[in-house]
Amino acid sequence: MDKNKANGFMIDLSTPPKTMLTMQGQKTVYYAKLVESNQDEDEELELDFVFHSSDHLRYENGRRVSGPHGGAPRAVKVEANISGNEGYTVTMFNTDGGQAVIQMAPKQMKLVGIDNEKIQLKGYGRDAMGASFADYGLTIYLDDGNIEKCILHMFDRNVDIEYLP
Amino acid sequence: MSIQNWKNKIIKGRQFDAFNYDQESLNHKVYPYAMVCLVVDDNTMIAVGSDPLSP
Repeated sequence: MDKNKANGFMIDLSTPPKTMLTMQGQKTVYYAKLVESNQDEDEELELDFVFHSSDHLRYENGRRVSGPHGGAPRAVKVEANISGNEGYTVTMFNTDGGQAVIQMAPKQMKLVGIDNEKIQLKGYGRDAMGASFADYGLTIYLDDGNIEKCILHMFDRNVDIEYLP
Repeated sequence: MSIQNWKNKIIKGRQFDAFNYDQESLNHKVYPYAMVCLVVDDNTMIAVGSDPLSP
């Protein structure tokens, strides 16, 4: 399957789904066909969005320590790496009062995991001051293809901030 | 997610799981011929191809 990771498939509606009895019970199997061939293994997932959050929860060592705050608008911006390097740039804004003020300076991240429910980014490299981007990560949770919420990870402090829709 | 969410949508290859069953296990489990599937829910799955070696 590796060579097909970048390819696109679609359920072939001209082939009727097949119902079969497996050891795990009855399963209906739909068949998918190749519809988009892209043999470029290095193709990067395109991410370019701003997620507007109404409030957030803060977790330290896995325990919620604050939030929700009764309204604390923030924006999570993910775009292609503004440095021209591999991956993405993640920036957080405080949008309280209708103005966007940078709350977390841009962090360079790359894709480390993707499945049907979430996209995981992790920082890499260092900024101009020598601080490691690897202390940061972002998990983007999806629901039916839409962004459900984002969680900013600060690995060095074991802090997660969950940005709610 | 139900199967309806997957219809008429392009599914990236990286979303599929490679089960890597050998032919004997496939036959034993009566799984579809394909070894590459995406499990939608307990009762539904999407398979790529109909050849045990594909894709």
